[in-house]
Amino acid sequence: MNRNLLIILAALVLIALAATLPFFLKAFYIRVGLSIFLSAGFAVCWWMLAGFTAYYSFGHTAFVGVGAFAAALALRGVADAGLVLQLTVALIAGLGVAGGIAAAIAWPILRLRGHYFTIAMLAVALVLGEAVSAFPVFGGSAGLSLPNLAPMSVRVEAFFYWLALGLLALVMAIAWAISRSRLGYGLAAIREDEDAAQMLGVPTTRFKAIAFVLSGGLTGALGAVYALNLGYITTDSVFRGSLSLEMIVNSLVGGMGSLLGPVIGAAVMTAVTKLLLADLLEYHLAITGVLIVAVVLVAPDGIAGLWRRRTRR
Amino acid sequence: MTATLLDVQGLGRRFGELAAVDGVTFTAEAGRIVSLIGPNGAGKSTIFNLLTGYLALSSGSVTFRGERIDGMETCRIAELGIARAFQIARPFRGLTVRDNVRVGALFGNRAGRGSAIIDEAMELAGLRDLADAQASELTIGQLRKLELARAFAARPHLLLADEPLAGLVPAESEEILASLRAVAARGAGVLLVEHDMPAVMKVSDRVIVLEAGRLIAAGTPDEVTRDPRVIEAYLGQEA
Repeated sequence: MNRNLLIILAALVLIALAATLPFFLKAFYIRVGLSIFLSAGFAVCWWMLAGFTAYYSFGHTAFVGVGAFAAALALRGVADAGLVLQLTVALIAGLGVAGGIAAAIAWPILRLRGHYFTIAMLAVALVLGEAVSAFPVFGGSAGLSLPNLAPMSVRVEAFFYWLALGLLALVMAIAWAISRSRLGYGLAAIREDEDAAQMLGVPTTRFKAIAFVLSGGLTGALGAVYALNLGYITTDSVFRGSLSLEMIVNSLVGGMGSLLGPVIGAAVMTAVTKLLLADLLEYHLAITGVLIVAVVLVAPDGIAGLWRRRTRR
Repeated sequence: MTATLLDVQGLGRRFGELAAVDGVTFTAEAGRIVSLIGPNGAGKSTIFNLLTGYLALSSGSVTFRGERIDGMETCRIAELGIARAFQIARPFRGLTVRDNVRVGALFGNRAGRGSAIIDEAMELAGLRDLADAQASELTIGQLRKLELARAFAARPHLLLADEPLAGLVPAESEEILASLRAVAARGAGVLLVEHDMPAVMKVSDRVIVLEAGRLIAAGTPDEVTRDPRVIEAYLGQEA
């Protein structure tokens, strides 16, 4: 059987299995699953730029925040509409505004390389966070609340579980399709040697911009779901630097070399922090730090990289 | 009569006070191998950087297949059919040999894409058996072949080969020279920069000699080796 077809079938079976879990699990475990899918979704979006092009953003929380606030404001305009329309509006607002901002800054910021780009993205996140908290339309320090979109017949945590699972599947499908396309090979060439890629005919400026806008826009759409799940957002909750850090750590722990890396990393880190360390709140951050150091030392290419190395032997 | 692919007129590039390339004029034709020779610092690699758009011209013009290409973006020039194999191999180390070559096929001359081209380019460069190897695992000789395979896959009208024989053993050099001849035989032009003089004289249809950024002689290998300016400036008395 065709390898690509096999991968698609395996992914569909896994998604179907994951989708049935809320029927058997307690609310707490469904929320853990929801956290895993959201973290994995964010990490895959971050990886769509960093993994494909080696442009490491330290400020992707900017797109989470922009997506969250765009969704919250857009939902005010469709307060009386049905669930499907409200959800569509929230997702499109998150995707469109975050993608639009990414498109607006792509040309100047992607002229920077290496650490310069990384730091510039950190600055973008800080500036956008400050700007949002400065304008009353975003609720100032009080923030904004969002309606509960979960239908009465469905448990709230299950609804967001399925929503996050669906979005994760979508961003993974997009990233997977890109990796097998001309765009994907061009981005891989940029990651390996941008100048050599350009000499071979890769339109590096355009391709980097496409990856950046896709990565930012999809992060914004996930930011909308994140905000809907929270129900109430402030700049501190959706523009927080630890969100960017989680995307990076999850991708590094899981492995930057493949699309599964960020998902594995998000699953492991979320499971460790929410389940194993749930009762050790005082030591939580210290143990997480030790874990990250251990993974980097034992498996510099992440968990997925460790697996690849073993199977190659 | 062979068609002129590349017409370089009065090419110049200054770095401050230094004229790295100074009023160089030459042509390259389809199906011919033209070599640029000269001592280190003569401006050979700078000319390649100017032709590929990596550096901007200070003066002169470059016309490729009837179209002015000076001032064009590097990637656009590659798309028009000029491919370059670097002096110091720059493989995409994280990719396999096949995927390296695939990048050449996907983004070079738009006239040709597809897996048959990738296989053919690897065959031509003698890398077919290493298709699934990681580029990071290749030897220097194999990396040189990979540079060429990637350029071959771009189906170039003009191939710029920058010292493809450097650091190779004689048998490997022969293989590479055979590949270059094969590319020319298929109708592409080859512009070769090389320090291995016996190889240059054996493979070239025409030789252009540079010194301190200026063209001092041009002609067939025989004509050039008899030119007193070349003997004095580059080849030495024993030539």
